Amino acid sequence: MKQLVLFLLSFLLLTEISYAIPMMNIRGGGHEKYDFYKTEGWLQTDHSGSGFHLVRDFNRPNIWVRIFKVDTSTTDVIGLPNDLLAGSHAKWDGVIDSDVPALRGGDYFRLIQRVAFSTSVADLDPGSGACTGGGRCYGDWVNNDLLWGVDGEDYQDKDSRSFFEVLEEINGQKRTRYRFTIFVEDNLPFWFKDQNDGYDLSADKTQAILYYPLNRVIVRITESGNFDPSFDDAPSPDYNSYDSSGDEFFMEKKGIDLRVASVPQESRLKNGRLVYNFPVVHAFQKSTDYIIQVVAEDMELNRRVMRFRLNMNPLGGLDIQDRSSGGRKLR
Amino acid sequence: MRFVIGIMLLLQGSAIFSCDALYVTWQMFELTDIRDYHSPSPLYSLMVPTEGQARYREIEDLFLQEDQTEYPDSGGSPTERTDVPLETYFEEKIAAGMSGNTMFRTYGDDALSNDWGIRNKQNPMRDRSLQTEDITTDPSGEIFSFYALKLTAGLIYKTDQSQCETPYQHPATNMEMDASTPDDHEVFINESGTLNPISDDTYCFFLLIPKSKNLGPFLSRVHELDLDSLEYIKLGFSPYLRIDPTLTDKLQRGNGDLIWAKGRYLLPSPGGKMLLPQNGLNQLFNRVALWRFYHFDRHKLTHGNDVTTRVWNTLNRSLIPPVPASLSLSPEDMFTVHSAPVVLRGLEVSEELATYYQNAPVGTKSSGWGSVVGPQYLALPPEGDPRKQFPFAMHFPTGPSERSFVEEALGGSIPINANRNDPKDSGSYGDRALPKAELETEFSDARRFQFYMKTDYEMPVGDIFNLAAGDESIIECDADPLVKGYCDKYGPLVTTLETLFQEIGSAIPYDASVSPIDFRDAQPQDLMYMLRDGAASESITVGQGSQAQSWNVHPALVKITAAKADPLFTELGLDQTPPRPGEFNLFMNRTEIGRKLGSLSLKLETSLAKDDKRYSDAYYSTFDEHLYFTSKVEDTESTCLTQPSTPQRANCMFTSMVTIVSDRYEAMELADSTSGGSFRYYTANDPAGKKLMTKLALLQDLASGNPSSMRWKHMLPPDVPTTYCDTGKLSPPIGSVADNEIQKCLNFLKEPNTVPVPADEIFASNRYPPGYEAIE
Repeated sequence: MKQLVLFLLSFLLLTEISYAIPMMNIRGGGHEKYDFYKTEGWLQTDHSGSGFHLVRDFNRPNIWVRIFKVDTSTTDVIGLPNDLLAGSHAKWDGVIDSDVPALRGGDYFRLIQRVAFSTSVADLDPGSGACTGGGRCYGDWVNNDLLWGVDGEDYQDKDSRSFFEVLEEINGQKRTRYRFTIFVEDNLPFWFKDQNDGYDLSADKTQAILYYPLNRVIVRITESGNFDPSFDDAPSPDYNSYDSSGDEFFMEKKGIDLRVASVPQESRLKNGRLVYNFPVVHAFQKSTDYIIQVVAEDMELNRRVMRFRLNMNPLGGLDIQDRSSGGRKLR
Repeated sequence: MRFVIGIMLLLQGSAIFSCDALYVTWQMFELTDIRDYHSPSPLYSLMVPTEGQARYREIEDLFLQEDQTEYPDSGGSPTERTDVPLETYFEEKIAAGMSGNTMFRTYGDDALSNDWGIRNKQNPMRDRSLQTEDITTDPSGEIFSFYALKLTAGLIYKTDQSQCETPYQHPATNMEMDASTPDDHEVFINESGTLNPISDDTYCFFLLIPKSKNLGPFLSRVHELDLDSLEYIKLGFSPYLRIDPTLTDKLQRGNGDLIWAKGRYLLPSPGGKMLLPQNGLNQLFNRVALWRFYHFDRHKLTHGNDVTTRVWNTLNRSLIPPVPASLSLSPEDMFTVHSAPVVLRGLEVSEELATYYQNAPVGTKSSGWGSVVGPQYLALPPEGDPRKQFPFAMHFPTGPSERSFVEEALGGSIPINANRNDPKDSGSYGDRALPKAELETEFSDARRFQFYMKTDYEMPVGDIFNLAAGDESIIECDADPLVKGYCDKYGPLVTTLETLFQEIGSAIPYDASVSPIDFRDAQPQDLMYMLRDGAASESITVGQGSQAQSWNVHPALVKITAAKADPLFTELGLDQTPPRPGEFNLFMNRTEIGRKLGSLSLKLETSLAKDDKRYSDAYYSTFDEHLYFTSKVEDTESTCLTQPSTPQRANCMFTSMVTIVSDRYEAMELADSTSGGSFRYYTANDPAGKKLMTKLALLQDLASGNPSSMRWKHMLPPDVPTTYCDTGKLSPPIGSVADNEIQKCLNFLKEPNTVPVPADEIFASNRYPPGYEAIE
């Protein structure tokens, strides 16, 4: 008996969402009876993935301060290296310690040199986003502390030195002059505004103006005895009511200060990033402990506060005595 | 004696395997009206990770979104769409099938019954063989997807540990200006306070997204077409970074984790897990269309030998040749991810993205579920090699459609997240969909402004990229014996085409001294305009006998047509029919000969499309072909209806119509490449031409050759029954045809106001792709 088996797959349609696949199956031959079957099917389209994801910025800015003690020409750098240059994939062997180190911008290499690269960057908790399970809680933008330095978590370098304590020789005396250079970097690389400093969504994108991705940067120098941390440590301080009357020095950078074009070319970029930086020159007025505080808030209102101490001792130096009068003077 | 006739034409990659990769015989693609089985078109969600999850820098977003409304055993409620993670979905369906639920088993009992026994003896079907362990987060696993990244600023770094072909303009560093300071990578500032832009290939510029707990790191060289990143590099936004040497291989072209496609980077998403970039504000897009076959088992239609001829006729009577599918969405529009290397092309979601799903928010398939005899089963690809592959295609919203979506979402015209929840796993990311009320806050003008500063995505028509391999470096033909086979086979065709281009005075679209050849840039302009605007000084004959006509065309067109008659062109078409063997893709994409061939043929095909309208206008604007056809039908009617008997009248009509169909229109169809694509263009675009095509769709079987390339019958409008002209009854030997059937056919064919073939793009794409001619 002859049998002819034909499997014919016909009628295949793919619309955007369906196939139709009738299948004819013919059996038999000669005078045999034929059975005609039909198999139907379709191709169903499902969709995986939900579509758009807006990833907001929840990373606080990083801050470091280069301190230059004018009277003795000594320098130090305070801050926690928390970007990718200190992260889990960086490998600076032999480069960062050379005579001409990379990352010279803002002496950042001095912080990188202190990173405990042999310790891995900490994992993050999926619920809170906090560091968990050991490892160092800095690098790759993992650190989420509001407060760095005084009153905050201490972070020590590979030699067990705190990242937020200055070298002893950096401390000075009353009237000692310092040049502090404030560096603030954010994980947002920059921020666009339109030509009217707004966000006209119909604006010509070629005319957009580049800003540092920061909302404000504040520097305060305050006697430690007068320092009240409650304002800057609050969850959502109202900066319109900032009371700086007790500060020996106060400076706020915001608005047009943060336009990239407002910053000299030689200062715009540090280590290949738009790192906002500016100098503060100050001579301390009293023989006491001071708190130097930097507050940085990015365009997504993520805030970081870094504060460190400097100790101003009484004036020392040459003791000149006038035997005739019994007076004495320190020069 | 038993005959088993088997020709296996694999279409749609593995999807067809899922049916019966055994003795599948002829596959022919026909349009059908079974369009009630709609899958739902689910919502595009706007998702915002919570702070903790964003800082964790991982989210999981591989949800299967389907309308479960009418699933009897699925747990779906009648009013709510349920989002189910993809893995969960398959686990549940497979488990249901294995426990006897016929709704979701991969093959029904009937598939193992005697009726299928012959095949089972030869090659037993597998039964429900997708195991849950097949679903894995391993990148080499079965389910693996990609998501798109919008903003790259802040992710770009540079290193001098190795070079990676990124000689992009950048501010010179001190090292580049002064060789005595080899480790000083700070930007050099001139005395005038300005930067010094150079394009030296000193640094490898690359993108880096640091690892999270489970994913990454992702690295890749900055692609040369990534205009945004190139601008950032030009401005100096690229920190110097020395990375772990174990990662530097990823910086080489083709080795990276980020794949450049259509103006954005795609990132791997194993198991649906997405690594979030650390560069702050960003927008990701993750939507994949996934296809799976559902089948109803066979059910008996009828039996007996009296209907043999009729059924045979429905099978087109002759061997159905292996031709590419005429699908609205061509196989190239889908892709699989495991048969590396594979040529891919994703879906381009057009402007209607914003309202796309509103037309059928819950799908309409419920009307069809369970309505046909026989159990329904989920068909899955076979075991072994090739591996199980789920055809899927990514969605690529254009820049304007993406923006439109966000704006309309904020405007309230799109019901975002209205019912997006996941009751089976309350801890999932899906639960944390952004509440509608918070949209305005999250998508503030300030944030959207940052997104809109992004350079528009590239969305060139026909863009092809290689997702699986990503490697664009050149390999030698000898690298693989099968690749060498293709090189040997098509080397002469490259020579033929190069000679052709020289003869017709068109530039060869590549510089043979430059490697690698950019086969995507065919530079077709000179040939396009030559064919479109050059003098039509050579005469060709179209048609036969009394229907022969003399038309003038450009001489280059004649030479091109002659060259295309080379059998290797036909071979190339067959080899290009999906699924293409991996070695063929390697040949086309990675060998010099393959790239030359791709570039030459792309230029040729692109250019040939340019003169279609020209010749259509030349031939048909002054001569109404449809009117001519109706006049010939009227002549037939007046001649044939005078015949003394019904069979004679039928035979007369048959003979007359065969003459006009074969000698004129079949000839026009077959000569269409010679005549500049005019007939295809005319019958797909011109109102009169579309009416003519409706009639020819009924008469295709009368064409003497009836070649595979003729697809007339697929153009038949849905509301025109094939019974208007039953060519089976009219063909010799004339059987029991009635006079009223003859008259009905003639009346339809001579009707001046016939329904034209639809303007529907499904039909149009079969005949003439929309916008094809408009390539500039």
